[in-house]
Amino acid sequence: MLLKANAILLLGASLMLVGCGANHKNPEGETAIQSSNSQSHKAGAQLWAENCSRCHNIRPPQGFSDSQWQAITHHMRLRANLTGEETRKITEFLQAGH
Amino acid sequence: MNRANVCLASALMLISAATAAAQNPPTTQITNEQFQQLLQQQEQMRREIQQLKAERANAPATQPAAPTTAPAAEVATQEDIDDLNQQLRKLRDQVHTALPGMEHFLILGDASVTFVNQQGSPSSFAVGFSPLFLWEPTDRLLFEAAVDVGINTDFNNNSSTSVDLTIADASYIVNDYLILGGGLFVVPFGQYHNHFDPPWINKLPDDPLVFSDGGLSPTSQVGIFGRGAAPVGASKITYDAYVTNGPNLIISDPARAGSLNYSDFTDLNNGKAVGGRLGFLPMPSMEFGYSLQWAQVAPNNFGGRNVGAFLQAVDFNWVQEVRPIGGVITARAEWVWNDVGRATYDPSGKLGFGPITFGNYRQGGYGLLSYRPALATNEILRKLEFVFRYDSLWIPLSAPGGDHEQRYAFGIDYWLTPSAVLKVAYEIDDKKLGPDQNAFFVQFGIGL
Repeated sequence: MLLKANAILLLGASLMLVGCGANHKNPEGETAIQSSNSQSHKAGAQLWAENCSRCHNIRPPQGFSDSQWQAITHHMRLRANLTGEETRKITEFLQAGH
Repeated sequence: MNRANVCLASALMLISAATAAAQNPPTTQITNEQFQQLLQQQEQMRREIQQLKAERANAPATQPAAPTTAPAAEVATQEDIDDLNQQLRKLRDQVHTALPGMEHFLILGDASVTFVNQQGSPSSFAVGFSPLFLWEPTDRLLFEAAVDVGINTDFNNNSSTSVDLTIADASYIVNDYLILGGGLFVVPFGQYHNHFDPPWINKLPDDPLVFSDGGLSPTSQVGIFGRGAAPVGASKITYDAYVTNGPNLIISDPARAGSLNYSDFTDLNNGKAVGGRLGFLPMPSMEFGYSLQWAQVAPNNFGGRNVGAFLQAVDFNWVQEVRPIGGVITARAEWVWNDVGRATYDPSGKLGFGPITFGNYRQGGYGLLSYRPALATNEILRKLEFVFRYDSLWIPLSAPGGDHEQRYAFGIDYWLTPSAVLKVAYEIDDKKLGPDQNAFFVQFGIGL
């Protein structure tokens, strides 16, 4: 029971930390933590190639329409633990590429 | 002639001359040279008119109708045509999304057809179809649903079709680094079920033992979750945390007592399963992960005591283009440990197989290595991928269904498209107690 209680505590604390870290609004209205990192300098095409090919063959931008890519990248953000910034850049690249 | 007649004739001539002079303008004198020049000019003009007529006759076939007053600079270029095509595509998308219920709604999924010839069993075809429904009402909200449609054959060779709901969840983007959600979702325990098991991603036709039916890994569970990622310099950390109903302990099946049932989504007790996964990507092509889940798994009335299960897993995934060998190397490995609390099954002996008590520590995993000569000059060679996998499952020999099983699988994939693959594989099976079940597979898998 002690292990279970600790696990729940850890889970709650982690979510609170991440949730409270949001303190900045980006132009799209989505909240983002202010931080500088090398990930932010990567282009959408690079992020698309790096993140998608880690699990499967990359699928060409021509495969889906703009609105379909929007839903797909949202789904993959959930499935592949992408950050919001990575998702936005990849989506913009895919939508511009067809 | 008399004088009067001469006067009359003269008068008539004068009148005629005067009348003629009044009707005809004075004529210009033209030389023969000027006349010849006029003839040449006329002939030249005739030729030009003929030429213009010919050009006009050919104009509709070679040039679009353009105003004769349009300047040459307004002639459409290839760039203009591309722009028009792009606008047409966007208009088509807008028309598509304007249909009722179609706003960011999408059906994806995968399908497979498999031929299996396994030692000790009749050869058989199998089929699977797994549509995935995505609906994104807003930029932050996503609904997902997925079903597995398939054909099952039981131990008596009776077949049936099945439709299993595997995903039905809603998620909300809180910020760039956190998503919250709930429903029936694929539990982030290891990487296999979340990332690698669709037939167009899995490099071999079957699942590793530890992630297959009867394995040690949870699949889909009902509950709530939070997940996300955060960059740390050039690396990245991912996290998942969840609370679910958890797996159930099988207590009355003589062949499986002591195993965990991951397919029953209801809870048999008030204790919930708590778990999560922490991932670390030192570089974009490499990921390490550690997963855990703690759950109370026995029914409330099972011997008057709680039985807990502690599940752990480590995973590794690396995909790298290696130019000296002209291709892409994929290396994946996962290992799972299940520690289920000690319990006595069929304590009264009424079920006919007890009382039985055993230490219930199980483990298993797999290691996969593949090579795809993606940089080869030959197109056919570029589409091939050579795969090897070792996997094992260790169930206590004293437990019902206990065995130590190891498999060595060799496969060749041919990628027809990035999401369609034809696989051929042979698997060598080695069991400590049961009969070996070597198998030959041919599978076509496609992502839709």
